[in-house]
Amino acid sequence: MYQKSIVKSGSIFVLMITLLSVFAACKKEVKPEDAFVKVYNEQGGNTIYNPLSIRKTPDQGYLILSAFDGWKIQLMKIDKLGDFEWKYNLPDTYVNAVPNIIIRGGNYYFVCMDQVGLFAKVMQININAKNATEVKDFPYVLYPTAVFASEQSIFLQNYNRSSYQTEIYKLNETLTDTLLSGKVDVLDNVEERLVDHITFAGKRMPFFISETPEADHVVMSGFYKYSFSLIFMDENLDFTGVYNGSNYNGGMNAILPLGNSNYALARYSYSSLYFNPLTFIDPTAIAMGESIGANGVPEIDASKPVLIKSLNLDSKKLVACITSTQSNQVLIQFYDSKTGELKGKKYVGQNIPFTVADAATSASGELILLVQATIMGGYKRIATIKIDKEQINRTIE
Amino acid sequence: MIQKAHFTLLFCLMIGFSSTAQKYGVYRKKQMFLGISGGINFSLPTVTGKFHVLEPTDKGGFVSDKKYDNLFRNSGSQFAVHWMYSFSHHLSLTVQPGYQTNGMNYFSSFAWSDSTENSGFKRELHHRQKFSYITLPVLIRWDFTLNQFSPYVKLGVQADFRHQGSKVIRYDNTIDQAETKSQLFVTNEAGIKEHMNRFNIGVVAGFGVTYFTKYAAFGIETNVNFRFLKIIDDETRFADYSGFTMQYLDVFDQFMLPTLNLQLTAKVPITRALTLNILRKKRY
Repeated sequence: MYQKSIVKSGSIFVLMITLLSVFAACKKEVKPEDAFVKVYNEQGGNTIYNPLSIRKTPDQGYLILSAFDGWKIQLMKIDKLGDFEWKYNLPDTYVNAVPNIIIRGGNYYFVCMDQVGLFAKVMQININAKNATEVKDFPYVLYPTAVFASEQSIFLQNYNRSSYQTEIYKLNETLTDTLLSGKVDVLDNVEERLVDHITFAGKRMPFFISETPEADHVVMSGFYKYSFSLIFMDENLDFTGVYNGSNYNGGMNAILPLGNSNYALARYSYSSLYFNPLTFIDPTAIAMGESIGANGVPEIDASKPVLIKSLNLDSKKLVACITSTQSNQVLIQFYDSKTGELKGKKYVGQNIPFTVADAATSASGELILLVQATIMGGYKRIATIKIDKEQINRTIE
Repeated sequence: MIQKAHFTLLFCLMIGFSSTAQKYGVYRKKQMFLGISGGINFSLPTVTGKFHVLEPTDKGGFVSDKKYDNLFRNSGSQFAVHWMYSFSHHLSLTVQPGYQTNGMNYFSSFAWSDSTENSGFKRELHHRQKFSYITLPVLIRWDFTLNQFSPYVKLGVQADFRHQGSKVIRYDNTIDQAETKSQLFVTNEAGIKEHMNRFNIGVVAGFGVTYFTKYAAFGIETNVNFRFLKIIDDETRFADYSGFTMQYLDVFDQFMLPTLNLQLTAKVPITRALTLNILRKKRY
């Protein structure tokens, strides 16, 4: 009697254990390249790194453009696991790498500045040779501040210290010639602010260029008439409208054109940051930036870079607003790109200062963040944080 | 020290048992026993995948490789309810639902140099983890004799269900693989439950001796448990639930955690008979 019931109980137990084992074995295998956190370190404690831009490479690895010791330039290549492959410190004559690595025709480029002449130089990154070589210099393009490539065009923004003007140039596909140019007056000498910006000695100004999906307007953030403003230009780079910042203490941090004059944007005013995931902006208006409705997000540090990226996750089209918080975390807010509805928030990091610099998204829905991490109390290093699609899916559920 | 004490205890018990006259045989067939067991365990992490946060970018850069403590420095404890049913005088089924905490320690270090001589920065970190599971071992036990002093072997499977995990880092600024007390800092205890896999399964094998009296049985035994599944959840490795990933540049390797335990048992027979006496006079 006893034995039968015990044998029966034993069988049930064995069955239960078998099922649990099968369940455990069926758990989705996580590949090391799906998610990782890496801090790229060198033993020299005095070097300060400021990451600028990250781009995926054909081997599923990444290229990272950074500034170190002020305005010096470093390129670094990591593999798909985030492991270090090589780095290349550019000669001292090349300084002030402008954020954004440009990809054209399978080649990788970035724009920097001549140390003495202060004019723009286009560099090509040679992944196989593990270095970068100069492609072209533009002696008339002083103080390059932003570069942007859409599917159709490449634009370069700069500040002309002689004429006190913000200039924008449309470059050809090989980045060796200028096709169009546009200019707006600053009417003020902002060189000191610019030097603080490019040497990382003071406030970093959120210069950017973008283009509407219809390619009918170029929108950029730069100096304009005693202020830091959002400037609209048409396809011929003629001025059409502006949203003025409040002097140099307010303006736009980032913008993502969504089409039909709709934008996701982040703007700042002194130490406050405001965000609107979906708003209409008239490109012909002349108005104050503060007139664009947006919600304040007090936990965000407005002095640090703000990124707005589009992210396709299966059938969902999202807008990811990536910021650094006052408590030194990275905050990613996911919004529905059609309705502007907040779908979820994800905080990354804790206990050590993080400042997000750039992010790369992929068609498969993965997201890699390029951040500056201050480790062991004082060493400012480049770090990457890769977040896989499943983690994002859990955040927005 | 603990190890030495246990071997001394085992030795004393064996002497004690041997000195007892074996006048009685143990009547175990179709008997059921219920009792408790408890003791200590030692774990030996076997690394199957190395992971790290800090990536050196200079030639000959400082690479910190985790160094794991040896078996007897990774101690934990366990206790269980002990149920046994004897199919025959020799063969029994044992189920021991219980709670087990496994300790696992490792060490890592980092160093930075400055342009000024002797002004570099060093940090040595001693990581102490505790993994706690609700355990459910089911074993077949074979007793070699019918004597009151009965050695036996056991073999079976053990299912482990994650309950909790914790971690503390003790750190100082001298890299010497030892805690430098004058510089020592200790972090708060952080939860690492979310970094552990929820379920594990493995085999358990062991041996021991039981001494049967009229109304109870006492014993000492040792078991080895080898889990088949990974201890750390690969999906949450970099999620930094402990807050230590970036602050202390620490992330778990993947590893197996074989465990050796040593425990004392006490159990009583449960029978429908009016008398509980399980001992019978030997015929020979």
